[in-house]
Amino acid sequence: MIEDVVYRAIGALVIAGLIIGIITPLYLIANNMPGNNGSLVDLTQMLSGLVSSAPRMNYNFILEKEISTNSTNALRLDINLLDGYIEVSRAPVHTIVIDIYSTTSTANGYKASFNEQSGALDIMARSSTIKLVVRIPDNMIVKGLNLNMSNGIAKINITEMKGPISFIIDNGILESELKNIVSNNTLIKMSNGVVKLSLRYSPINLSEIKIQINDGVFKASIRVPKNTMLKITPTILNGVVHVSLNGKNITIYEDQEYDNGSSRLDCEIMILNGYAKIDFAR
Amino acid sequence: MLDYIGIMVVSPRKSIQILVAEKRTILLGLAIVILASLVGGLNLAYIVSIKGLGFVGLKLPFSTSLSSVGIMAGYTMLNIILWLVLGILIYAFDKLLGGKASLETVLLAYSYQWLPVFIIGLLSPIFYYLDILTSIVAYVFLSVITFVWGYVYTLITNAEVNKFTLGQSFASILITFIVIISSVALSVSIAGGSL
Repeated sequence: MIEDVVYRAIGALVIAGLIIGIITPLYLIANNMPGNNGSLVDLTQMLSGLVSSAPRMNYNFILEKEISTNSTNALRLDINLLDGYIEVSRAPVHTIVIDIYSTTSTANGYKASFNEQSGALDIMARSSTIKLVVRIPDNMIVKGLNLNMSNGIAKINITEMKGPISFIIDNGILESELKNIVSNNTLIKMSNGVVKLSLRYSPINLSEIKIQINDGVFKASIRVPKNTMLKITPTILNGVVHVSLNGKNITIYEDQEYDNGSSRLDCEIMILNGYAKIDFAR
Repeated sequence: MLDYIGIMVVSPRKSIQILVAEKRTILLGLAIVILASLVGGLNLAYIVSIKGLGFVGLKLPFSTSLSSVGIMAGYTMLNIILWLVLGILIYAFDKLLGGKASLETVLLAYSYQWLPVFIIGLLSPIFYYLDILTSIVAYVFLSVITFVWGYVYTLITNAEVNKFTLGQSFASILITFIVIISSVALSVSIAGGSL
């Protein structure tokens, strides 16, 4: 009897070893996580070498690296500009630390600031060659995020955030995934470029999204829970809004409202020139 | 299921008796080799392609994920080939020493060589926290331990299926390794001479 228990326990240990031994490296490889050897400092140095040798002709050099945390107050932000990157991560410190590194003496400027009283994090980047690391302490909640970008490609992933968010982009590409966002004032304003937006688990608390696009493309993948009401108010001067709601394509030419239950999601899109495509999926 | 695996680890002699009595096929041995190879190969791929290349600042012309898949697939294929080739050689020398087991049974017995690799799996999270050099040393150290451990298993299971003493089983496996090492050394010397 005891022998059987021992056999089963050891058998379970072997199975656990196989599962852990397969899942752990798979996860680390999939997330490209170098571990102890790839600390933020090492990574910054490593990417610095890549950036300095990167072509600066167009947008085709994109650095992608996400520094993530598990805390509920985590802000995850990864912005990849034309020839550089902005990373916002958290460090076990209790003071705000904003490190700005510049590799070239470009005339274009950049600025990052954190208002401790309002909790707003403002990032302005107009340079094509900047590296910026913003560290936010564990006990600090970022209440707002403003991104002002003139050129380049921004990839922004934010989880668990309260407060207003605004992205103002003159020219470039914004790809953003927002999870568990509680915000009553989210603004995406773009004069030229492409916005790809993915909202996950957010719409219940996200009461309103305003998106203004002068010229460009808006693509959003918004996962809404069942019985969610969708209201889209497009103002289109030149272009068309394509909406896919739970797999069904809908083309909107004027103000329309879709009531699919009790929860509510309002999405306002104004396009001067171009089109917006919104995918709503379970 | 858990009982089976537990018996294989605790008492290889008893478990191979059960497996032979139940006429388990070669597929069980293949499954053990593949699963163990996935564990070893994936951890090796993580250490080499993520930690290693990040350390030297080298960027491959193809993606890290692709290189990881390549390392893992190569490692798995190599292990399967080793299992088959060495298993056939052990079977041949078993026969020379008067062994009674079939080729399929010998391959099943030889698959025990890969059984202790679960230890690498259990300890795989530590690679994330170790630096690159320590990771390599730890991986090699664990590989040596699992190899020796598996070798002891193979001695016991090979002896059991052939009705050998441990000495006969040791001789059969030792001759196999000597033949393999000699063949590799001879190939290298021939290749070196032809250059």
